Amino acid sequence: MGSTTKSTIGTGRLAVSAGKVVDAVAGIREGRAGDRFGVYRAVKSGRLVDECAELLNRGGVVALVPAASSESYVEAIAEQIEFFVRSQAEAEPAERGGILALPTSGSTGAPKLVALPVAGIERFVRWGAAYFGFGPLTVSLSLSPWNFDVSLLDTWAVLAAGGSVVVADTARLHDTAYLAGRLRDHCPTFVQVVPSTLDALVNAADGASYASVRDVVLTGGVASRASRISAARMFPRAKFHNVYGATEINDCLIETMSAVQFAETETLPLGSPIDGCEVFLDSDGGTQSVGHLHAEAEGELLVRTPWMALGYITDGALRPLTAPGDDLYPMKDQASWSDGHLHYLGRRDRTLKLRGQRINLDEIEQAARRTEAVGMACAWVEETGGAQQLHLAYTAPGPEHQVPSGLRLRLAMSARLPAFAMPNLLHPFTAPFPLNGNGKPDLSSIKSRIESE
Amino acid sequence: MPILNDVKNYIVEKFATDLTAEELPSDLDLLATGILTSITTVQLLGWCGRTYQIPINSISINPDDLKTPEGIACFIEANRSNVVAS
Repeated sequence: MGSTTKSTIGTGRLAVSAGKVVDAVAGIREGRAGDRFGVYRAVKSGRLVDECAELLNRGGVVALVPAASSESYVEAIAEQIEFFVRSQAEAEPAERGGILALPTSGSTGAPKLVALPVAGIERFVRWGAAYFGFGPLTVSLSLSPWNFDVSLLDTWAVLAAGGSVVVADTARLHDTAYLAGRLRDHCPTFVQVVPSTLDALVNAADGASYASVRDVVLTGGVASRASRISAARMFPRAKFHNVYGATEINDCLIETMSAVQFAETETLPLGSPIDGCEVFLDSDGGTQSVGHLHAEAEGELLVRTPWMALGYITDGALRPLTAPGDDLYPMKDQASWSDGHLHYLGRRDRTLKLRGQRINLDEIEQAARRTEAVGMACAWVEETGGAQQLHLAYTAPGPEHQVPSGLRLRLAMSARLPAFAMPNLLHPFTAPFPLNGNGKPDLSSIKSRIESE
Repeated sequence: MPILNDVKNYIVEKFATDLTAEELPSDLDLLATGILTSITTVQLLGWCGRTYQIPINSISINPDDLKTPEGIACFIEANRSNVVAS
């Protein structure tokens, strides 16, 4: 276990017990820190929690960046945060409370800093503690980087409730002995996964089961059915929760089910709005609350939550999340309501025209996963020699399976997709996909790996 | 059937780099499986014309004949003979 230092703060502030973080990752913070702001690499350690909580509780601004960020990236974030704090100096930020800033992109590209107010985080961690019954006996296995918003549930909410957090080094998720050791030695009761970390856990378990786990939260994407079946066997006593959200609004929908339901449902529903959250479907028939939908409908999800971000930190100011006069955050996700359930259809901004036909890259990835011949799938379009080509990289459905041949996958997918939406070039990966700072498949690294072969 | 082998080799070299000529079924629907598109079919026809001296701009082409490797091979055989005969 780590140190026993406590940062117990009164009402209106984040109350955490950093001493309950099981240190597994060497190294402490890097980057700059001042009286009013700090930029930290999200290196998992109790001291990071302590320092962040103290600064946030003093009304400061804390940015967490991926642990593997370049020096220039950290410096760019530090400049943005410092400029913001100085610009806001006359706006009495102490009244507004602290701000946790999370970048939504990885370590490349223009960072987009989402400003989460401490007051909102507090409301969120209270909901998490109540829904999952977090308390002193809770042991959470933290698999995702701490700059990723999922840590607000599996780390901050658990610590705030007096529970313990066992951290897993995100650089070692494919070390099966290491991960199996985390599960075996610490007997976690709570595990939150994104599809890539679910695959890593299933891989590490190698058929073993862990009865200590009572709750498994799946978030951040769509897991293959093969992985879900393995997870249900791995955590036979757990309840499973499919949680939907985004950094800007945090979690807003939840579907709770048994291990059997988690394994057997072909497509997991998005679930119902979390208490206090308002979710709407913006369809041709107008904007309708998800709670009042009766007829079948399809449209974009619009969301308002009690823990929404204040906006994006940019050019020394907070740029609002939504258009003026509108307080519903557009998720840019398409969903449908049918048979009494809300289902995810795909990203609006992943819809594009390919040789004159409209396609959605999410739907193509889903079609690949639904063949149950692949685990992870990543689709993109590239123009080569003046012609657009649809690419699909994919992995095996599980550690005990071989990655399927391109022919097998093409035949299976052609039963589900029209010819114009079929991938033209397939790229089988025998190893798991490289991941970005948020634990999601890193497209640029995937492309680089393909080019280097 | 050497032409069928040539067709398969060309397809896996240019359009289906994840496959080998040996594993490409002769009756595989190349359009339904995404291996050929409207644009790559034009490229394929250009290759047929150059390699087998088929006057592709002056003959009628039924797209259904080009859906499978064996269909393409038959198309080449039929039209190559015509060129040779004339």
